Amino acid sequence: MSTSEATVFVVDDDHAVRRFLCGLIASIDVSVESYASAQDFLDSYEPGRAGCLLLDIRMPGMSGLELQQELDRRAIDLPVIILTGHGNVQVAVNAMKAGAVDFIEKPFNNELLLDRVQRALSEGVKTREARLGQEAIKDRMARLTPRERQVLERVIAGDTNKGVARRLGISEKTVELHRSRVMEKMQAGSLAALVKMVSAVQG
Amino acid sequence: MFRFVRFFLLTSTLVIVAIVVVLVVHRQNEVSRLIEFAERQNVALAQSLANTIWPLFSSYVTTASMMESEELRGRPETAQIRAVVKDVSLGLPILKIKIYDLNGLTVYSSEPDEIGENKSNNPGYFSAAREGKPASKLTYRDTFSSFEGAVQNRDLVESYLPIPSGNGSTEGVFEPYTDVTPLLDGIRRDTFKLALGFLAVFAVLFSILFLSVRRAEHTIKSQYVDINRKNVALEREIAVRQQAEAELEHARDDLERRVEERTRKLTREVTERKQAEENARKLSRAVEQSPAMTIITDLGGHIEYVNPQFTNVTGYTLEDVMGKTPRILKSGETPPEVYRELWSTITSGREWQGQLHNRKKDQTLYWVAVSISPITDKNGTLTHFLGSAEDITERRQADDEARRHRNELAHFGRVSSLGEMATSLAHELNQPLTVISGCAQFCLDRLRSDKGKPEDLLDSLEQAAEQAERANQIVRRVRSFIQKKEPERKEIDVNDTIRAVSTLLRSDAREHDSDIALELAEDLPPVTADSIEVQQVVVNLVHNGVEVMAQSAPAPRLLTIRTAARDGTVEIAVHNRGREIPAEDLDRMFRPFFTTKSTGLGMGLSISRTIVEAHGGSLWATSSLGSGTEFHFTLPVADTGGQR
Repeated sequence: MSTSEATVFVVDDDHAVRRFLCGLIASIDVSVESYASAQDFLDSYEPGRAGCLLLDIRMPGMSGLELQQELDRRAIDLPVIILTGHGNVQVAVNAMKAGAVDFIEKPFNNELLLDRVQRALSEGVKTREARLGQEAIKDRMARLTPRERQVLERVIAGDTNKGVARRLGISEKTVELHRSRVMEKMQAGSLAALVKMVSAVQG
Repeated sequence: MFRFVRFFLLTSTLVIVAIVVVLVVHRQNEVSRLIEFAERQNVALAQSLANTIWPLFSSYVTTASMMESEELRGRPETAQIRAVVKDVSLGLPILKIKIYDLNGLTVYSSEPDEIGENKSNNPGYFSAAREGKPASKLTYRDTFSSFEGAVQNRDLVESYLPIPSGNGSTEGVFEPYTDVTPLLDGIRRDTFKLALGFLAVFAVLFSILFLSVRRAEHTIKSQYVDINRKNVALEREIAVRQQAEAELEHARDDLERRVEERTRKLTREVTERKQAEENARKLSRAVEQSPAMTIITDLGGHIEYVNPQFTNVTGYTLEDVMGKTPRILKSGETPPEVYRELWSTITSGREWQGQLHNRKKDQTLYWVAVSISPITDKNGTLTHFLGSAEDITERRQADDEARRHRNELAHFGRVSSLGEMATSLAHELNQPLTVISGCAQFCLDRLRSDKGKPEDLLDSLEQAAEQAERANQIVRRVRSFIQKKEPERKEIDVNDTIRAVSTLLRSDAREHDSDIALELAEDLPPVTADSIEVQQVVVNLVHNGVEVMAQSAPAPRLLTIRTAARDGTVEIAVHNRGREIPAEDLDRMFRPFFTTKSTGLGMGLSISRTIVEAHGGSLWATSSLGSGTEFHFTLPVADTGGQR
């Protein structure tokens, strides 16, 4: 997946600012959508869409900070860039604590803004891929039988086939059979790959 | 009216009743005589019986009480008595004969069934047997069995007769039944004839009398009507005469009253004249000693009189100004249209009131509150003008001072609330600056990299220009809001005033993550007010509201500004959804230095109330749990009609 499918969601109540940001972002061929309020954005956002959020921290109704909390609640993990007026340190700190990846002060340098936006987009893609990978591994693990799952846990813990057989009270041959089925179901080429997968979802 | 006929009929009825009574009495007498006659006949019969049969049967009768009735009927003596009795009573109207002994036993009866009956309790028997007196009564029988067999419809006289013995004592009782029917019929016939005769005579008399009485009544009636008619005529004549008398009396009273009235009027006129002279003396003293300056001019404005106070204040004596016009007092400070209005008011006969800025004899300026009214004579014709004036220079100075003080306070309030809103103002200015700066960079980049197509640049430059104008407007608003100038009261539309300041309000709300809704009523009447001061009150209430909501209310934080026309005022309500204000603070918070905030001096609400009250309105707050707090202030609707 590349950044070309991602969208920048601009949420700012100021029409002039919104219009300028859209023009600027569109000028580097990144798709962009703009919303006048946090609520408008929440109402039209379809879960699973990729991209990043360019958000003014001060808005009537729901503030930027409250929107961040709402995104958390809905498990939407779009990277958030906060736009603020005069560097209000406390505001920036709160935003970062709430999970913003970046904050930019108005007025800003166009280059800087675009650079940050792109960084956020690729970061968004990365986290999104990672999340998708984890979900795939979880799916595969869910397909294992209870016995295969026990074998998998022992193998990852470093037990030999013989050790596993003794621990589970079954024959070594049966362990070998389970183990090869686990490798197959988890699409793992080697023991190292298997360990990496499991630690990615459990870590 | 006397009713002859009725009276006559009544009298006749009485006469008829009297006749009936006489007839009844007459008949009764006849019957009594008849009974007496029959009794005498019976007594004679009894006597003869006693003489003939008693010596033969007395022993039988006296001993008969020993025997039963059957035995009595069967005795040979019974048949013997019958033969004797029949013999004796032959040719007499005797229908039946009974013989009783002294015990009341029926020893013999011509009706054999009755032999043996006991009659001792019969009153007739009792009279004859015990007292030796005969007793008789008249009876009527439908059927009766006699010697000759049964007879019908008979009138009988029954007589109980004592049978005397040789020594004079009674030995038994003899009862014959005498038929008196023919005699009684005779009596009835006589009575009937008598009644008929009476009635015939009476009917003739009645008819004659009735006719004459009716005729008399008729005559009386017609005379009565005639008299009535004459009475009416007489009464009318009396009434006419009485009216004439009343009119005469009325005329006399009227004359008396007029004389009285004239006398009274004369007395009153004399008193009034005295009073008027007294009043005039009092009034002239009052005018002379009055603390108000008084001027009297003729219709051309030439001064005829000034009082001592006028001289005290202006320095001009009566001699100085006599014959001159009040123009000598003009300073040139009062606009000429004031004088024009003054003249047009008083020459049309109305009173003028106003303030004039005049000059004294020593050339110093002073302010007077003047009231000029026309003086008319009895006929309503204008004759003079009366001016009354009060030196209000000091009062005006004090007012000016107070006003200046208030204006300074208001200005201070505006500056300090703008100070509190500095952050949001900076933010508000930052928005256009961001766009301007961004657009400028964009154009520069394009031009430097030679990629700039003119239409791209044009769009960016247009945006930049728009935003520069926006920034300019913000700066202008802020400057007019905090500039220090005399408030200027004029007719303003409250809605326009609020809209003009809405950018400022929105930026402040935005700074507190709140939104503002305007609910402005259409067709609001104009109010007379200083628009900057009205804006100041609104800004203050909104700023307080959004701050309170930022502290206490969850999203969405909405502040509503409503306007409405109500009872001759325009009411502006600013509602916030923040926490409720305790009842004891609702009024206290309008005092100076009352604050619950960490920033600000606590002067905002106090200054706002001063401003609103200086405009003749009021400012108050209502608060309730759950619905937040609402501030209201009113401004009186501009008086657009008929000002002098």
